[in-house]
Amino acid sequence: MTKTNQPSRYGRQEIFYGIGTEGQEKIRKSRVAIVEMSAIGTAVANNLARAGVGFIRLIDGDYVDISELQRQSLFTEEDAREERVKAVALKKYLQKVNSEVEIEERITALDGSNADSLFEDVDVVIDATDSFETRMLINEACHALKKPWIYGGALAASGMVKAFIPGENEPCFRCFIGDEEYVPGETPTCATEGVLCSTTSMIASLQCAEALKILTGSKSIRKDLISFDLWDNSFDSFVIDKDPDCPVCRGEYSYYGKAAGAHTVSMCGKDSMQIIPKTEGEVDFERYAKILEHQGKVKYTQYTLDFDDGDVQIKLFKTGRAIIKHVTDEKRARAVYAEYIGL
Amino acid sequence: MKVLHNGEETEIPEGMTGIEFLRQFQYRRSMIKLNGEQMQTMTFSKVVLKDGDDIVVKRISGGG
Ligand SMILES: [Zn+2]
Repeated sequence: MTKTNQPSRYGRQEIFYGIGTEGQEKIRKSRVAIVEMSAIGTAVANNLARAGVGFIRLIDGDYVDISELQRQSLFTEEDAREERVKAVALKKYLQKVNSEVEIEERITALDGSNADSLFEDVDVVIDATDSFETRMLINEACHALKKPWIYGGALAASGMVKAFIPGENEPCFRCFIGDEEYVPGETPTCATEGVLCSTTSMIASLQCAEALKILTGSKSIRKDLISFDLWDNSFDSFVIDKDPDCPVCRGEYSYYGKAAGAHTVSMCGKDSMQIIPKTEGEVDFERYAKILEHQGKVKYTQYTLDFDDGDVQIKLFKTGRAIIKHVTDEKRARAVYAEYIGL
Repeated sequence: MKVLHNGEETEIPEGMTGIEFLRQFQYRRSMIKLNGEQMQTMTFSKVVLKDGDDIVVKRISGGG
């Protein structure tokens, strides 16, 4: 076959009745943000980059760990060995997959104060987080900014997906989840019940299909919530009603726009704690390395600085955020941060 | 008496209510269908379950 009669890169999408060349052009001009490079997030990023979405923002503040390779499909053993920053490793991979797509890495955790800068210039936000609090924040930010977002959640062999579209009569995530208080330890998680790569891949596929519908202006966007279980072979759908008492729908937000202050977050699937300083800045790694090298082993790249004195292991990011490894106690994590980095 | 619980035949005590059922199987934050009809947790909680009922309860998944 000569170059002139080769099918176009997106030919199989363009001949699909739901997209066409016009839809493909809309996809090319569109912008998507993905919150967290989890199993779902990596699969979504892969699908959307291959589909030709023009701009993809990868939001994640974590690094690759060997325990994640079972389901986070685009990372390698080398990424885990080198503890590469997920957003950076994924960007490198995706650029090889599709050089026409602009990939932007944002090495940060989404919070109430940075949501605007991460979401305001995109057309769709994809939820790939494992935290209900982060999801509540995505919901509030997207409600305020009038952005569609697509919820996806996994647990063991089961998953749920729902696109939340801004609109007067549309329910939001808070309408769906209600006001039941989240009690840590009471809600099952992937760390306690496990998760299959098939589950997260399925969720990502469903989210991407909804994303492409939104980006191409399709009228087929699914209104209800899809719920499936790959092990008990069930596929259900549930109608989500708008809650007349929902505070988010009234514009009353609990997470969005709130400065978090210095806080500690446990890392799902890792026996580590993350410390996020009140004000994120630009850490001078060279200077820090000189200070810390008298106390233990230090190595750094342009993204992270690793410190290990045989007892304490810290991964410090440029913004001052740090992961204290092998520590699950909040007080201990804060004490380590205060001692080595300074709170 | 026997009910179908997510497709599996399950023995539950006679006269069990929806709320007792949810507590027994430790469901929080869930979507519920009783005999194919979607129900709010509040409504389901008050139902007295009957032999042969088909109950689908899906926990809201949160993992990424
Ligand atoms: Zn609402």
